[in-house]
Amino acid sequence: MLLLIWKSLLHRRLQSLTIVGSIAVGIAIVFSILAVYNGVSSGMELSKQRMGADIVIVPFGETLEPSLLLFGGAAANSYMPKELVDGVRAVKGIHSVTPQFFTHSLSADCHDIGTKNRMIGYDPTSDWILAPWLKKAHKTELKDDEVILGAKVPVWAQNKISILGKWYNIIAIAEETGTTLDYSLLVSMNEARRVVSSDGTLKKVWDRMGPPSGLISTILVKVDNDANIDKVVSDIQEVGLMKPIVAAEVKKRIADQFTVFAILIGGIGSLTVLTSLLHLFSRFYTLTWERQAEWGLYLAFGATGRDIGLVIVGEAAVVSLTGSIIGLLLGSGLYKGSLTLLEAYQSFPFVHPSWGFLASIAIGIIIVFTGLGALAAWLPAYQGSRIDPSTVMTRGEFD
Amino acid sequence: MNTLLELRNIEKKYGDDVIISKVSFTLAKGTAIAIIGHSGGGKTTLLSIMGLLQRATSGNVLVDAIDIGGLDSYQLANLRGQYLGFVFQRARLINSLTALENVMAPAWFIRRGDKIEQQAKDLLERFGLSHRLDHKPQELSLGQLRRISLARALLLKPPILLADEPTNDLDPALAKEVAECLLTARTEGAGVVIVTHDLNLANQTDQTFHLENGTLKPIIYDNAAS
Repeated sequence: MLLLIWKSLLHRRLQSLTIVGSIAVGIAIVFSILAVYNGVSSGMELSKQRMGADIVIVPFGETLEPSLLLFGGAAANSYMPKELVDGVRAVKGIHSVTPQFFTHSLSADCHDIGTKNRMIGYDPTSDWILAPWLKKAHKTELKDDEVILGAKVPVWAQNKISILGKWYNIIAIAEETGTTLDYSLLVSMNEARRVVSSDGTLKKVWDRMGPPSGLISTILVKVDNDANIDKVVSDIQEVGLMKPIVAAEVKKRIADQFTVFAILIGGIGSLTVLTSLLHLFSRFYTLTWERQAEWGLYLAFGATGRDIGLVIVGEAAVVSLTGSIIGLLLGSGLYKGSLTLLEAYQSFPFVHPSWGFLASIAIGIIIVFTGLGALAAWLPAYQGSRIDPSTVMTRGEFD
Repeated sequence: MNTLLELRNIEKKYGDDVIISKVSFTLAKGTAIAIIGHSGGGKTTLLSIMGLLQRATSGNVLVDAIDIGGLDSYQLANLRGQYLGFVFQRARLINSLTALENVMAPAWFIRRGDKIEQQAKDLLERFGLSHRLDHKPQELSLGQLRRISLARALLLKPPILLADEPTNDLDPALAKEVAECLLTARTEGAGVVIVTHDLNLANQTDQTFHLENGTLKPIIYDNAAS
């Protein structure tokens, strides 16, 4: 019977391909949206859990988009005096603060590790960001030749990385956070300052603001649970010329944008699939009547009405299954393509969905859409199964 | 038990129109009968009733002594698969399948797969079509289509073979060839019913009936005179 189903579909290949194509397009859109949305949601969640900063303070006049600063790994060579840290720490409602020092975009000696990667110097006395990974490596702080790499920093050697002519021991590779940290190379504050002080392109900055040893790039702030975050932001601005960015607001804005995006594009994908299922229903409904003589012939052979129904449902299921599989393959490409495109226009917290998640939605899509395809053919199959066998004697030629 | 198929007082009406009226006859093993009559006279309807493709308005149809009156559609389908082979007026081949697959198709529905492919090839070879196994119906001549249709009907060696105008539209040589193939089944123990306008074919059967005004009447040939 499977051969009969397959041959019949091949015989009507243009009709079959049309439906397979429309199902595939719809599923590709639905799959890619689900994957991107999952990546963004996981990124949001992880950034909340692992970044641990409620407010990120950058120097006043910093022009980079907050989303790029928080999630895109952009190099921000802007600095402010380190004395501001004590002023911020004194603001009421603040639980803890830790400064960081950003270097420029990096290139490794042997291999370009990409302009998105930057070196960040951290303060071991107040840091809580690196602490879990240092603890895992049984260390309390990083030496000047040690580095912790963000999850998305490319590495070619297992334990070492060469940056600007110096070899560093890789102490740990941090777990994905969905934030700028994923693109960062974390070193001691001293080391970060040493690296930039020898960079001639930043000489004008040091002339204007003083040596790197007296500067910081950002202050990460955790607020008390019961603190009014707007009041804290306002008080921070009183301390000095600084630009506080409320991480939750940036994340919420991005989440809202993605929700609208997912509803719009996902809706288009769902409508495409729905249209193709209606197309499938209409095609099989028509075919059931057009092929009455063929069903009559099968009944004359000894087929039961149930067999006829199975042939019709089987054809619909094969079309849906083929469309689903092709759709998933297209969807994988669309997922990668749309991600690249989205990242070019908007920085957002993103964690690649796990293979388990992708496999489970792929299997789910195959089961659901093959089932829906078979369901769309149920009425035609029911009617086909009730066809009068004598039609084989009276109807015209077969299609 | 020699009787394969028996009709008892079969009547078929469409509304008030009586198509078949009180028809009775029996078909024994190894015999062939022909039914002739005007077009639209109910021959195909009668054949459909014999083939369990439609039910009579009244009367009894017995297949191998089984009265089909109380059987449901599933049981009827089983009986058709076990007892009946059809040669239709048009070849009725499935265009998506090759010649070999068309011959094998009935076996797919009644799950008789053992060596069926070889048997189908043997039949097509017997009908001179061994070089056309992989051809689709649209690539074959009318005569070839008819022979494939015949091979399909014979594949499962059905005890009862029903043929509806099997030589219609065929040239005399091809008609003779198809008739010979059909009647060969009789020598293998099958009962053959042929609905035809072809008197030459009817003459080769054991008994010819004339269906007129819904009534089946035997024709007695005067062989001495002919």
